[in-house]
Amino acid sequence: MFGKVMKQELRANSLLYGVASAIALLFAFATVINRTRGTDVSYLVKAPLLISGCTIAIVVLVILFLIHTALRYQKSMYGNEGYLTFSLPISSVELVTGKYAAAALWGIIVCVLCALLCFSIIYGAVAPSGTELFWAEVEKVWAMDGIRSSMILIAVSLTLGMLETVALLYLAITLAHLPFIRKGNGIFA
Amino acid sequence: MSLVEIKNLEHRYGNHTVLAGLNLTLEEGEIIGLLGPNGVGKTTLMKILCGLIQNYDGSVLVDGQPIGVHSKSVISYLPERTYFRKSENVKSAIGMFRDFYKDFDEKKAVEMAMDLKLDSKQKIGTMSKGMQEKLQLVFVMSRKAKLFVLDEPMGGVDPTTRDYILTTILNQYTENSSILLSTHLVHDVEQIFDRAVFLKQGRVLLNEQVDVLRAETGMSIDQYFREVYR
Repeated sequence: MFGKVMKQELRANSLLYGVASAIALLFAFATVINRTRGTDVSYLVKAPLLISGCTIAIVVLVILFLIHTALRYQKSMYGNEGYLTFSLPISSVELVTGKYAAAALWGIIVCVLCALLCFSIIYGAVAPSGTELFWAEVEKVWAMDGIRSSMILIAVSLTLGMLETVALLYLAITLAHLPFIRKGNGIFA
Repeated sequence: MSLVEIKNLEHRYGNHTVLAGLNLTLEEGEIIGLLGPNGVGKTTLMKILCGLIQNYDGSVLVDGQPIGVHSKSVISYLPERTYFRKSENVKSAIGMFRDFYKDFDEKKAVEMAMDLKLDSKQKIGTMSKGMQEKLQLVFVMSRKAKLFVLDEPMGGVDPTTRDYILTTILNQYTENSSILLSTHLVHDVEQIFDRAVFLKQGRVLLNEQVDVLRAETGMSIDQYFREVYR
């Protein structure tokens, strides 16, 4: 049943995250392609716009993920949809972990997209004539002692932070609906 | 073993006691009308049976087991409101019921949805209230459940939809299952009841077969309802 809950949650969010991801990827690829095709002058015309677009896409993705995760949990557990959710023949553990796993998966996808957009911003700011120098510098940095493990640690901690945030959102919304608290007290949550 | 056994059921909303030591037994093969004025605890009782309310005192057994995964698998619940996501369509809702309920008769659900002339890809949020009520009833009655719990299935819909709902309930009912139905439209529905359960002040006031009640009182259930709650 855990898998079925997760499947339903993924399906429920697929359109929204699919569209957002497609737009983010579009900006990322456009930023990268822009600098590989143009001359030093022509690339400068579009680069600021595309890099700004990537930056905005990161902010929008993160905010969208946080708000949608909270709203989705709230609606499916405590809104009208909760009548269906709580009458399903599944245990509470399967229900919550299935929802959490789906949200975490979308969160990981958002993290990967943000990383891709960050790379696009950095790479998009490099002039076409500086491509070889850029990759040479990347190789040099990557070869430095501790840099690789540090970057992996940063990626892991960011991912764990995202997973923790989802758990905290779920906990806050659940606490806000405890009987002794005014129902749906968002400020308390 | 009775289908439902409730002993000393109590539930409060804050300081307000809704169910105050309610005792009730339901058997298989009956259509039971759960009757009473607003606020008497009908919906609360149904929510407890279906596992939506878990903080109660007393004992509730469904099919011999406490409320949990098994009881939810044998109860088909129609709440008083629409519980599908607005972005859900008929096809995906059928898929969801097929996933979660082993007793879901997909073929029957598809046939009944086609009778409603619904496009399988139409979003539920774009349907009228009456159509949403009908669709929800289709899904609920397409299960081979032991107990159907229908909370105000005809509330707020037009007479044609009411007739459809009544006909669907009667057509899909089998002697192996029971239907617990709450309604204020007693006059329209009483002809399908086998038994009437009247609630008052958080307890069962009367639990009797409708034929016996009519014979003893000389009144219809609707008339008796008005008499009791005057």
